[in-house]
Amino acid sequence: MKSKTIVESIPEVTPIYIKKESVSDDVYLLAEIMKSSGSYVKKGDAVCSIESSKTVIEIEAPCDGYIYYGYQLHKNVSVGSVIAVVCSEQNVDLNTFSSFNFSPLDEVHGNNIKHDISISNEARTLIEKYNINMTHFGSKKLITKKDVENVLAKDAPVDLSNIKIDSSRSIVIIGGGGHASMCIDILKQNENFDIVGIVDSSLSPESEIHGYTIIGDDYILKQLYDLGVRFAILGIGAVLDSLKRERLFNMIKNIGFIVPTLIHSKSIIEASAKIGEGNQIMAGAIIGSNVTIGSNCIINSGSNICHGSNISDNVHLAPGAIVAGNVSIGKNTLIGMSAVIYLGVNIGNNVVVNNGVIIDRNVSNNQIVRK
Amino acid sequence: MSSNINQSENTNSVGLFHRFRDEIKTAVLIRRIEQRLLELYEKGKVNGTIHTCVGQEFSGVFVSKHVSKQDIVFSNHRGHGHYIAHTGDVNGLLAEIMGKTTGCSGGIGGSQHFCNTNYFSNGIQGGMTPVAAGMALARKIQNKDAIVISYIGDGTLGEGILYETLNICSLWDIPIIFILENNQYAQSTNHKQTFKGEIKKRVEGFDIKYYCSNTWELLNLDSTVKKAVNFVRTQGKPVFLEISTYRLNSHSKSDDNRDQKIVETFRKADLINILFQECQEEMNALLLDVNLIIEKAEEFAYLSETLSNYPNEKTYNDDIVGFKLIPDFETQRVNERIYNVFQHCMNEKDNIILLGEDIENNNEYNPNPYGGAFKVTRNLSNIFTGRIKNTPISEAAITGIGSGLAIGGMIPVVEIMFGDFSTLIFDQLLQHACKFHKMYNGKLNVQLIVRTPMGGKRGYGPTHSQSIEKYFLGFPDLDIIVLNCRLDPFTIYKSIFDNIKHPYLVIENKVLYTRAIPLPAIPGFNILQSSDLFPTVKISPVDADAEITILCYGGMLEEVETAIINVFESNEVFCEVVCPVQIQPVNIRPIIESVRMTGKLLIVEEGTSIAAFGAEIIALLCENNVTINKVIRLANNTIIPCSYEAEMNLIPNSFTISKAILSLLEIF
Repeated sequence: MKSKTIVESIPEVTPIYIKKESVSDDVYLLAEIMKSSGSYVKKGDAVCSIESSKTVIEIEAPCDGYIYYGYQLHKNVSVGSVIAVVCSEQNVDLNTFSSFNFSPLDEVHGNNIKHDISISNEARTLIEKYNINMTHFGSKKLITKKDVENVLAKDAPVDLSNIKIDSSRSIVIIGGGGHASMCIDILKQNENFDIVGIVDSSLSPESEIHGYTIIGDDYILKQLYDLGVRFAILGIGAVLDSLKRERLFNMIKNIGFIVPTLIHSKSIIEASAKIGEGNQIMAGAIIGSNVTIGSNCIINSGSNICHGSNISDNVHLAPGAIVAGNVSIGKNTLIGMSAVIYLGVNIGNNVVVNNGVIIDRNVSNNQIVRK
Repeated sequence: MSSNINQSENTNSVGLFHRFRDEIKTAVLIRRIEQRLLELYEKGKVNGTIHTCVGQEFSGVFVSKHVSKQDIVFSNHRGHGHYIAHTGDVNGLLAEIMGKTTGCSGGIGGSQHFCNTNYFSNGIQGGMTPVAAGMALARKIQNKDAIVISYIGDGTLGEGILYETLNICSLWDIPIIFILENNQYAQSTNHKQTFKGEIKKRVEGFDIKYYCSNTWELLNLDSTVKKAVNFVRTQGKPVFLEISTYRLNSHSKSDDNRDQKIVETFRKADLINILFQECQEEMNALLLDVNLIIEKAEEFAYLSETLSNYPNEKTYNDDIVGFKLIPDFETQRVNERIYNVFQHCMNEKDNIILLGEDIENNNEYNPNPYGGAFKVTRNLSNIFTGRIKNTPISEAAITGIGSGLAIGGMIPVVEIMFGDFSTLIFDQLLQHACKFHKMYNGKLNVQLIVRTPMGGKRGYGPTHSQSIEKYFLGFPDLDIIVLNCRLDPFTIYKSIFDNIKHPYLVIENKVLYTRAIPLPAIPGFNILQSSDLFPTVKISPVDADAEITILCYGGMLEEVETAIINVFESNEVFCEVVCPVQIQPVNIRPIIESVRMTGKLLIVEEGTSIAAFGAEIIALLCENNVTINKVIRLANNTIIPCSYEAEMNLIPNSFTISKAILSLLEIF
């Protein structure tokens, strides 16, 4: 008998949009809240009122459920935005509703707020391409393409000319955290690569970690490539921000780096499995027959993917996750530690399956599945 | 209207003379002055023209007999007689008409624009009636036992503002007496060509007490004026007194096309002429006195200094100013901010009074709250009982009443619901409120605030969406203030209330009312204000030199702000924005400094650009030897369509502004 509690049902969420109530206004004031956030409302209840320049308009609940507001009292609400949602369940994480834009208008008023910068489109493209840390621009407030080029041309904190570079062997590690140490150990298992150093903006240059020197920030990557380094490894796990790994992966690919797939010598991979670029297969992982894996995935220690399953790009299987046969997992999805995915289940993109959760039915995109 | 001369009561001229000797003497004085003025005119001693009141003298004489010193007189173009009757100031009158600095208006006003304690005349027909009503209202509010006398002619009956004023006077029980001197002619046009119906019925249609008399029956005139004045004083309600009379001379000079036979009939029936025939001795004795007074006055005038130089004025300021960060203020909607400052200042000054259409909150006729079409006045009428007044749709009259209140010592704030309707107050501002101070030689200040929203983007169509403040540029003594999304309306209005001496026209913005300001900061730019009382906002790149200056004001600032971020992001263009709050007189200095640096100027206006603020600025920059390499004016030069999309595309917006910036810099 299946337990009812193993999969969190996806709550039904009904947005309340602000309609254009008169020709006069595009912005209304949330004038009064009659039903407070989290309270149960019935269809047709007046839940709040908005004020235009000429009149006050009451907003009714579109259905029964728990109401949550996206705006504070006396704040401005624009036409077309979601002022509140009515949810079939209580205590729902509002940030998980991504099918419509529901986040409080973060209005920061004031003429003199500091530390705000503008970046030109060309500069932004370069900054994203080379993942340049904004601290390089100092107190500059208007960042142009020229400013970015200046940063890219800036001398590395470590004299790169001292590094012995061999295009067929030299590899750079991006990130100096715990995940990097696992990658370094795998690299050491064979003698194909020479690690030239680690880049990490949060660690001070020239310091050493895992036995290697921090040679600078991400902006140094282009210079390393120009000097002949052709291989790079993403040494960050970023469990809670799968998009970060995707962004960095694209960044190093854009520069031109080859990102080798790391395979621990103590992992088991069937010959019929197809594995893409830049994946990291850790100790004890088992990859069954006819499994396909996209690129930039982490198949962590002791996780197990059974026959015929299809893993998209940038998926992270945490240690001990078990994926049964013919499962499909969408991109950027995280399967938690010791989570179990039943045979044939389809899991969407951007899904987070919490540790230990057992999944026996399909999960659509953009969901968090809890115990 | 009576054109018949009824002289039944005047059977005994000698008796009449002795009964009204003083009044007759004043009338003779007036007549002799008028005749002397015509002689002086022929000798070229009088500048311009004069409108004499020969034949009409007794109306002013008997009105002045029954009013008191504290009462206030408003007269018109034919006011010499009124002036002499009410003030006795022959010296001031002759000197004024002869353009002397000792004249009652310093030689500035001339024949039609006299000013004395409690006496004002103006050469505009009905326009003075609401001003007179405002003055009377001020005295009523101040609980002063004073009434106002407003002289009009039968020609004035053609002007709508008179009826707006009569209606309000009756509605608000304003202690005013309108004296209609009916001489049957508007310049040369007979009353029969200009008037239908009955004056009495018109007046009584407003529920105003009507009296009538004439200048041929002095006993009747005497008692009727007395009754009329008494009614106003005791009832505190308006009165309309029609005095039939006849002008024996032409309208001004050599413009008389009337039938001279009829004029001759009236000349024969003229009481002064009759008295000169029937009481020769007594009248000649009077004449000796009168001539002496006039001779002395002429001598006084001749010896007085002629007003030979009248200072011209600069149309702008050129004050070197510093720039500083804009002080923080509470984030609020603009309409709420204005509400707050009114509440604050009305608590502080009890002479502030608000007039406008629909500005009261709930009252005995409307149980539900309203408080202004744009919710600015809200519940002020509940807080300050009687000081926030709903008015009829009479824009011109309420502006005139505002002027009257202002010269009566109040600080009136007149709300014109839509800026588009300010065309209706043009005359009141140009010919009255903005002119009094200078025209009356600085003897009075008009502390009047007119506020009105301009701007489109609300789908209100061609007559409710315009920005027509440019038509008010160049009015004397008028300060024009335009609110924007950066500066605190509270501070701006507070500065006006604390410094007001002259009229202010405050332009608000319809879209801005519901915007919470200040808006968020603009990343990468400093937002600064100049050190003037009404500052100029300057938005400059933090760490680069601007390549182009963008000049704008009011509702356009927000669009310009979006555009400067757009062009920086798309094309790395650095813009500086200069946005004055005071567009008249504008301080040109911040604009000069910016354009000297960039050499390129984009002007963004929400109204039409022909002969407008931007055009004026370009002229001023040229006059100040500022080299402008390239300039573009962006405006809407047609009427504003109702269709939301068409309207949004027509009025300069961040997209069209961005395009103009790039085209000005020849980036395509």
